[in-house]
Amino acid sequence: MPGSALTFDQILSRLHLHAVLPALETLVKFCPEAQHIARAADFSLRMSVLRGSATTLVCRAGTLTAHCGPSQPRAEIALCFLTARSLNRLFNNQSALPPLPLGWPWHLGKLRKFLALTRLLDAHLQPSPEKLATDSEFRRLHLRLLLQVLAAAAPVVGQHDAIARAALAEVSPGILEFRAPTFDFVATLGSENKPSIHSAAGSTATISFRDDDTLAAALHGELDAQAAIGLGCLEVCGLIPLADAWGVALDRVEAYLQPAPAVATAA
Amino acid sequence: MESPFSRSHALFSRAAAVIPGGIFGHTSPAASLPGASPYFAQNAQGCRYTDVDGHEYIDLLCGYGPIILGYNHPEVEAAAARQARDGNCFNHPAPVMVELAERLVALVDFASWAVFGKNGADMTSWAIQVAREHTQRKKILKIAGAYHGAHPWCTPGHGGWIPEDREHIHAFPWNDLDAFHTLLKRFRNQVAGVIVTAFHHPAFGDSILPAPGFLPSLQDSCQRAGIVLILDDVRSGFRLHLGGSHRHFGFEPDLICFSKALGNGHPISAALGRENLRIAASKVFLTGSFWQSAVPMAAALRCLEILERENVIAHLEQIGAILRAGFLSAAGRHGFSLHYSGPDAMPFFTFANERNFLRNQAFCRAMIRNGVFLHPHHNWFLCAALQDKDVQEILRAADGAFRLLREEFPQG
Ligand SMILES: Cc1ncc(COP(=O)(O)O)c(C=O)c1O
Repeated sequence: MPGSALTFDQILSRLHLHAVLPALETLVKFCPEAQHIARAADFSLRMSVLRGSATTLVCRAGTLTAHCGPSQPRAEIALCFLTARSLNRLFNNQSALPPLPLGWPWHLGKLRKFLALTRLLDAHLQPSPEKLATDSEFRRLHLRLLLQVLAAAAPVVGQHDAIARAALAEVSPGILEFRAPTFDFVATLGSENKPSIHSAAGSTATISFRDDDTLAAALHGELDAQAAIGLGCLEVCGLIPLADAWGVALDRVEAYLQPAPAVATAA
Repeated sequence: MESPFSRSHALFSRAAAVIPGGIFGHTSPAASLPGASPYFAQNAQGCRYTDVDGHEYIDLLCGYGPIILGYNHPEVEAAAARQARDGNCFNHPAPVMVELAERLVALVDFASWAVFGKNGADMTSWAIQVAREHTQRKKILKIAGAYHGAHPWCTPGHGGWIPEDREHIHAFPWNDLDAFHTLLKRFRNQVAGVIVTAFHHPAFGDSILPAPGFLPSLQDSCQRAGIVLILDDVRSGFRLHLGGSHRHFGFEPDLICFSKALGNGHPISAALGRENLRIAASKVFLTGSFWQSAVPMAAALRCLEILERENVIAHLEQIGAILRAGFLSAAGRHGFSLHYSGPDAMPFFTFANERNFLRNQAFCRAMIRNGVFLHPHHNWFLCAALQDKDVQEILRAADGAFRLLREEFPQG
């Protein structure tokens, strides 16, 4: 996979913009509380790093869409961070230099809805153990979001992290598909570096989780994958080295988004 | 429906509670066909083994190579038992070590000394140390994707090594002399050793024989640059030529590493080298608690005797050729096109135009159900105990497996 080595903060900022923020789309789709906020919201917001990556969120009529690609729609509010580090500090709830707000000041009030959504995303990505243990619907959404964040983060890390790049360079490119059983989530990691949330015809390798417990253990970094495969809790078929190499990239995500990904709760 | 492997699975559950991964390394279910293949073996004889659920298989994997005469070979086991009665592990080596070194040195044309270990990687890792000691240089060149063991400088695993472990290890593609010469130029006077296998046998890939002139060219360049050429013959040793696989392919290394087939299943490895490496070899500390144990040496000595007496290599070639023709025609009958690769004694095949191994995996699942054990991602090994009737049984199983496969993959 072609790519270049970026600094830790540059990689992390891409993960925040391209993996964590887009999870808001799923949150709004599946969480009633987020839907409620989104229905009352109407904003378009771009977050970017100066001469770096950007993501634009558009929230209209109860639907939130995240745009990470090269052509993004115009936004009413643009928060441009001078450095990757300052964006990361904001996402990590550390004090940070305020971003340069570009756009019309009367739109800034709309940020309140955005911030409410990010607080909710935080709560889903970093829940308390009690909440996870007692609310199965919540847990399912937590897993879906975590899987989505990881699936979107892995290509970024695979492209720019030296260790993940070395592992992926050892295998011929292909599409890795992972399947979660209790919700219809098929994430594909392809040679084109783009995770897509739909089934890939002709994937090169597939990882299937038998149940939510296995998925949860895997997503929380607590799974003995070799044992889980032998026990039938995890199925890996096709070009196994491809799954192994992407496994390295997924493991490396933790080196950046540790503890589990958080989004801004204070801006 | 209850799994045919319920005992395997029950044992695995117990194993997973007390052993990370349940079963580690190359025999981990994760590396082959989890759920569709036995996890534990009960006993074996000749070319067949029985798993813990009582299923018997004709074995085309031979313990991933160590079995060359057949499991439990009576003469080898008798020699081992005789030595075991005298003792295995002493304060000193037993006389059998000298006998075995003499025998190996007589077999391997360029070698004038031998040392012993337990596993292949003991020897490949020691060999690169000898190359460094001899040349007083740092760099080691290897073939990209070649397996030389599970030590930090070469493990294909992703965990437990740091980039510094491989700072002086550089890879070039098999059969690519231009890439090799580019590395030689880049590291002029810095290369201590070049380590190669006699043919390229990557997991998850076709085996590739050396292109004409490839290995002799490596030899020539190494000689001119004072580089030690190491032949890692751990996997193919004694299957292609009794005197080392370089004889089969027409070149000459400076050091050769053996293991796997040497003891017909008894734990032993060996490295042999040229006279000019003797002093360096004597300076590189080499030992392990069990590396001089006598029983595997007695087994190896007897194994070598039988390999020669019974002309085992010719037999492997002969049944290998029958298998190749049989597999190819069975595949053709059912509309499949195969890439059949490797020497006939160590064959492998993949399905043409398939990168994800799904057909290989389905084929091996069906073969296992039909009582033939082989691997979907790793080359196979034949043993001397395979007779014509076994080969016919294998080919009947293959015909059935290809027929089933045709239903699963109607497009071929
Ligand atoms: C070519 C080659 N070299 C080295 C080794 C390592 O041998 P061991 O696993 O005995 O350490 C192997 C093992 O499969 C091998 O095939």
